[in-house]
Amino acid sequence: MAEKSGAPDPMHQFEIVELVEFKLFDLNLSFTNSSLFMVFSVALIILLTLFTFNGRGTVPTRLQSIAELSYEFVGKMVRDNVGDEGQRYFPFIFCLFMFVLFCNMLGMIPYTFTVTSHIIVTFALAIVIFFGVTVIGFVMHGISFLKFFVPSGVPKALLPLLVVIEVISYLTRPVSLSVRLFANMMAGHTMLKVFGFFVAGMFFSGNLFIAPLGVAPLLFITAFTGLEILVAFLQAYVFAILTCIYLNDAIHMH
Amino acid sequence: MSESGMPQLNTEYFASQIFWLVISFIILYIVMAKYALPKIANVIETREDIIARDVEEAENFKKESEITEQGYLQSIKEAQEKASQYLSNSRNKLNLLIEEENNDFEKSSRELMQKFETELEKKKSAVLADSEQIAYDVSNDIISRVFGENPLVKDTLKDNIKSMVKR
Repeated sequence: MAEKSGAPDPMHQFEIVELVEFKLFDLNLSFTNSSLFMVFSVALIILLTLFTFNGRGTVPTRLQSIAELSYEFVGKMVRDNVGDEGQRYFPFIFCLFMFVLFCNMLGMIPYTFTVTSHIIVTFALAIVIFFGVTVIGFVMHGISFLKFFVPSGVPKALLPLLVVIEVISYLTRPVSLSVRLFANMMAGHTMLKVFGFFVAGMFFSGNLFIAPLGVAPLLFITAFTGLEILVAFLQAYVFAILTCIYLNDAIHMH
Repeated sequence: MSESGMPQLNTEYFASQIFWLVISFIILYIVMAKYALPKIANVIETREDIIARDVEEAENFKKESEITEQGYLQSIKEAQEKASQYLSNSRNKLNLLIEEENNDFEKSSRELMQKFETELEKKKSAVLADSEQIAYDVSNDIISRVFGENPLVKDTLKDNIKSMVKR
């Protein structure tokens, strides 16, 4: 993994590699390792949800249980946070959650590529959510959706300031949403890589005193991998639930 | 390619990433919304229906068994009542029988007793009558042996003995 020249680079794992070149006009739309893992994730989700149902027995198979649990997990999330009006958007939230979850989880396998560790991917998702939610808000409430930015029950004098703050906080939603996911994934993977370098460096240092101490960072990354798997799930959950909350704001205002 | 520290900031592949993200996400959405999610919903619903039906069936069975149990308890109660009735009936009959037997026995024993008493009375008076004669004979014998034959003595003796016996 480490480059031949100089110190090993923990960011190397995030490098995009072209697999199949593909250019449209001037745009480089090549199929890359990132695209490959997006396709992997989608394929796995489709496999899990579509092809694990053999027959329709009362007792589900194991993989079928996973699919059903995900379905009910996201279904409950949408019901609790958006209510009945949110059922129309359930498929989207489900895809969002599963896609982010699978990209995160596939990234936990060594030598894979983590799609969600790239800001452009998470930002693209977040900006679609942002515009989608805003459009839903305006379609449902018309121009009165702008009241969303006017908090009720505050002194008149403070209103201009508060409206500005509300608008800014609304506009930064896609940024916070995307940066949270991207930063979590990137930081975790970088950390794992750095400690991996420690382990390798210490074990093969040739120094009899330092080499056994390499066990310490090894133990650390073992534990940290568990934590990262938790983070991978948690960030997918957070991404989906924040989408639900934004959707709820748009549908019900507040 | 990796002159910059973060490959994430390399704009060269932004378009490619967005392009493939859109394609794969749209495919995912279509498959999920059209096929997978309705299928999962259907399976879960069917299962819930089956479970609800089974629960209902179980409840019916439970009700039925409760009714059966009640009937069973009822019949046991009836049987107990009947048994106690039989018992008291036969006890009464027995008591009646015993009383009857008792009465019969008492009656017959009383009759027997009376018969014996009259017989005894008869025997007694016969013995008494005999004893008068014996007493007279013995005393007469003794007197005549001692004092010789005397008709006067004989009569007084007879009277004396008669009065003694009578007493």
